[in-house]
Amino acid sequence: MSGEALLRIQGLRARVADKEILRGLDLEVRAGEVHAIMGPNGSGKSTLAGVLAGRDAYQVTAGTVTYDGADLLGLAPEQRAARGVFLGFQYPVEIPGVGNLYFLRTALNALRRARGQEELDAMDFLALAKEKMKLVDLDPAFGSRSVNEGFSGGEKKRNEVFQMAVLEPRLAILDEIDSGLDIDALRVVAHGVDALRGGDRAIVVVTHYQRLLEYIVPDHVHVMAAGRIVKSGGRELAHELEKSGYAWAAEKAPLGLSPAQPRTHPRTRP
Amino acid sequence: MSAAPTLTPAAESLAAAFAPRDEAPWLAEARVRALARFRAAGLPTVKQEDWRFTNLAPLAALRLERPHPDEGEAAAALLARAGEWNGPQLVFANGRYRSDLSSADGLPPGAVLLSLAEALDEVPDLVRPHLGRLARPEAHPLSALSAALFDDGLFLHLPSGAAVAPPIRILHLTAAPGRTIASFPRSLVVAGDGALVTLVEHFLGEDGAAALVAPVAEVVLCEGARVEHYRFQEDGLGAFHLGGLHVEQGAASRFSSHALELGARLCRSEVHARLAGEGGELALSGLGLADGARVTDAFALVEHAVPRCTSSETFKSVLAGSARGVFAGRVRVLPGAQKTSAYQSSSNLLLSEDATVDTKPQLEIFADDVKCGHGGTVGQLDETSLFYLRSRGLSEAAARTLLIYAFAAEMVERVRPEPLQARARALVAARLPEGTRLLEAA
Amino acid sequence: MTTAQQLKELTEQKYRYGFVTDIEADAVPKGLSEEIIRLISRKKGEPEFMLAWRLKAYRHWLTMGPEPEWANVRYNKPDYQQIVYYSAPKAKKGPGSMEEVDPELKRAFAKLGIPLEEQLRLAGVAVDAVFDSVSVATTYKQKLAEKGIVFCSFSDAVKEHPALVEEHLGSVVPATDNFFAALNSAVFSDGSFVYVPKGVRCPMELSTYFRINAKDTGQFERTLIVADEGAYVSYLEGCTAPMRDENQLHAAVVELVAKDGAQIKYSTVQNWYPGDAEGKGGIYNFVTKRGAAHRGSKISWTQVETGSAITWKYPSVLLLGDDSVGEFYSVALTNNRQQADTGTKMIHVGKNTRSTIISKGISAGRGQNTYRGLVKVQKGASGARNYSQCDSLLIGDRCGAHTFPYIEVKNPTATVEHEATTSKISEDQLFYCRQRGLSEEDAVSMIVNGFAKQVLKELPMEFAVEAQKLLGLSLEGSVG
Repeated sequence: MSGEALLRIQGLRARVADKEILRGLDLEVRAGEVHAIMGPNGSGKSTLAGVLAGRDAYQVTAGTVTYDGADLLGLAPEQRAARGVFLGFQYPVEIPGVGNLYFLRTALNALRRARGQEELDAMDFLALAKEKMKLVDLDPAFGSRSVNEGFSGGEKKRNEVFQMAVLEPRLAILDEIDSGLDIDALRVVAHGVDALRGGDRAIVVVTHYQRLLEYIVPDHVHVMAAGRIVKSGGRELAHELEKSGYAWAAEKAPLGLSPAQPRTHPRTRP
Repeated sequence: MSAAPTLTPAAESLAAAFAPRDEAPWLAEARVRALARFRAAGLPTVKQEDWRFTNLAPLAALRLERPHPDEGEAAAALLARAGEWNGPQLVFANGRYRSDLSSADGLPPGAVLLSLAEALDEVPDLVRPHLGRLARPEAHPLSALSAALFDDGLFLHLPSGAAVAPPIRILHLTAAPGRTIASFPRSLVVAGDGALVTLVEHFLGEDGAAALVAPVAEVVLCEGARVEHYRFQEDGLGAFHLGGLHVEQGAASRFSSHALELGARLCRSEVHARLAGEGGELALSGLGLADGARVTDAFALVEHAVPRCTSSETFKSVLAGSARGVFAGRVRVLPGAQKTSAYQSSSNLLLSEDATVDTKPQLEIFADDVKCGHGGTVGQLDETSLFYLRSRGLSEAAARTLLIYAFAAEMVERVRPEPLQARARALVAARLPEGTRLLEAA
Repeated sequence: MTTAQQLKELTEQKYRYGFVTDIEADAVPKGLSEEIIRLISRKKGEPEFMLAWRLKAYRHWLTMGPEPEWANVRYNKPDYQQIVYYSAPKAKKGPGSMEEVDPELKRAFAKLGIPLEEQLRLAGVAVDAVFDSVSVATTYKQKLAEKGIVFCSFSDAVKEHPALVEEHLGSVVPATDNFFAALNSAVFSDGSFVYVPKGVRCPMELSTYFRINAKDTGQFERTLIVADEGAYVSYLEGCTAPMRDENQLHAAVVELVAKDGAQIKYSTVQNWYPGDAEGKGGIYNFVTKRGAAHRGSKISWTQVETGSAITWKYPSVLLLGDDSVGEFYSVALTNNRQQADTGTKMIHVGKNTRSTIISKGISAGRGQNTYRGLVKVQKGASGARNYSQCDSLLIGDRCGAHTFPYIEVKNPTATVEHEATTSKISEDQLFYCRQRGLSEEDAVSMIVNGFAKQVLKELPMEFAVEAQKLLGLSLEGSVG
């Protein structure tokens, strides 16, 4: 596939509090492609996912992100969602007292409203939800439980993929969707994601491990270190990493992996 | 000028005991002001919200006297009961310093460990900025009383970086056969930046005669200082013990105070702590054991004045006979003290029909990014556990003792230095039926 | 946009019920005296025992001042001589039949969502509509009477069931109970009365809708609900008032009597005018509510408190009979400059009595929200159990949340557990919702409703949805 990139990131720098995490990152993703971003802990993978979805805690200090031909960084998180950006959370959040399906229907209808589509009524939504639940083997009983509350790690991740299936994003960024899963749960989640690829949908899979990519075979693999992409290649790059590990990536990182600054407390004398 | 309120016999006799001393004018003046303050306030009564559940009327009815110097020997005779001590130690008999029984070995260079009276003579410039600053006479009648009448106490000043390895013990011994005395032990501890020390305050009294023991301690922690404080209170069963511990913490400092309140007819132990520097950590705990008609009352006011501090409070009481347990804890998170984390818990075990407990864990929160919680429980020994132990051959008394100890054990384990923990275990065991036999064996 | 900006931007609150009905009122002069009390009693055509009761309360009230100050609220004390203690819409005749109700009044209640006309009435809910000092209409009266249930205005009850009133009035909240209860006992003008006979299960929700309309008026209503042995009743009250710059006083008394084996479920959706964003105006809501639970009975209070400038109320249960049960479910929301000091008292007297307290406080804007509760286990209450949970949610950094539980236990076989938490709406929750497409305001509303769910589910179905909307609405202007 060729043509315009759906997502174009150029020279992106971002910080949390006083610590710079992304240090000049470039990436292009075209519609229909699946990209995998790999890298050691602390290389900035999750920060990248958070910046793309609009998390408040990150401050972008330089660079541009263009999505579907327009600036992405100026948009509120819900506006990005309305334009089809979906973030699968590494740690899905619990919302006590709010029913899972109720939450999802409210979200879907908010998206539909924003896109000028008609809202789905409760019955139609239920039919849709039941259909999509099968994709990740979710028990219909999950619908009435509070969002993610008391879910096991695997259930939470399946719930993320289920939400993705219902919301039908154009760009899905899946942040360590495989973390904390045993092999069976991993297979269910990964097959769910794989079933959702195709057409115009682009998927960016952020992962530490190569094993996820046996189920979701990427078109492109990127290696991140110290806040930049230090190597890109085809799917074979993932296998290479499996053998050689990430140590070499650290060496390649031009700015080095400096340890976090120790916390300093303002000096106050009683 | 308005007329002073009618003072109770206790307050009247204490005010009358005031006599000018040969000391620096600033101190003499402070004493006079504090006395006026106490005269105006009198002893607290149940009409005051903070004293609703603890009635000082029996104390108020007493006529109290100051100890005679020649009663010191009776008090010093209690020393043996306190157990061996090899580290630095200050001994006070009826509030007066006994240099002959004390030792200041094992202190790092620059550290000053003196009796407070000595310190007022020798290093007044180290004392004056802090004495009465946290325990303000105008804020509390017992702080006022202490400021007016204290004789002596502990003075510890640690310069930046000073680390005292062995725990320091401060022994307060009280005995005055045939008389009703009042003593006002005073402590002032200033821990400089990064200084480190463990303190054990041990109160021991002769059972029998009524007495008032009203210690006031002020502890100042500078940036990064760490102070571990332990309090073993074994005053005589006729004594009223009214203690006030006032703490101020600088940035990234850590303070803990763990109390075992085992003696006294009425024990009220107050902690007033202020987290004044970011990143401070505070841990308070107390175990009160009371039987007969005794009262054990723990009161803690913790103020989070700045962001990113942590405080935890864990208080327990075990009440038998017609004993009364009281807990009042208040955590106040001031505006701007974001990222505060504070937890209070009060657990109470009632062992008899007539024992009662009143507990009041309170949160006052004026910042939004906080995690605060509290929990309180009141219950009795679990019948199933009791039955289980008995079915394994234990007598009912033994089974009860073991379960009571199980409830209290967490508090004993908070005493960290190993020899002290053993001592704490023995003290608690000794208060339980057959406890020494059962728990020593365990 | 940062959270702080959003917070600021959304600080105007909409109050939907702030209109004034233009209707001629029959009012007594301002001020309080024995004369005024005699006048109120005369206007209502009360029997002698009522006047005597009022005067006794008044004389006691005179000895009580100044008003209590222990609550964690700050306000300018009302001038009790500047209040109009009785104001009634001028009726052509008494509110005997629905057709005679002034059309202006009908319109006012219709606007509040409480149609009084036969054909429009809420299905399954009987309504007593109280406008300022008097009840203007009671629906389904006849249908209930067939089962022996009395549901009428307090004024009618005094005339038609004096024996029932005399027996129970003041039996749970004595006229001398506290400052505001004494004031209410002296001047109360109307309210609702319910009697459910032995063994009868009331077939519909009973509800009273309170409306303050006239200026300078205080509303002092009195509600008395008696459920005889084995009876069941579910009762709901709702309240609104016009937007005015002056504070208005509402000092009500509610007494519940649950005889052996009876059940009373009492729900409140309180939406008195809260004042504007700067704290100008609003209702002072100083209310005494208490129930006496006899052997094997159950009293359950559920309240959703979103209105009023100042709220001061502690719906309580005296667990007198063995095996009786008390419950308190509360959501209290304070936004802008609102202050609430609310909670409950569970007094365990009988054996094996049980109580549950679930309190959810939400503070936004500059709101101050205090939970104050007492769990007391008396000496004879062996086997008593209490569970309390008090959670506070903070929205914005200028509000306050305070928790003051009191636990007093005088029986060793009691089990009392108390838990409390205070936290803010988590940034993670907000981001998660927004990432899925919800606006920040909808996200907050959803999270708050989730937080309050344990309480909202206790409300009768008809009102749960309304309460949910109300929470969202009351938060408008606070979100962040």
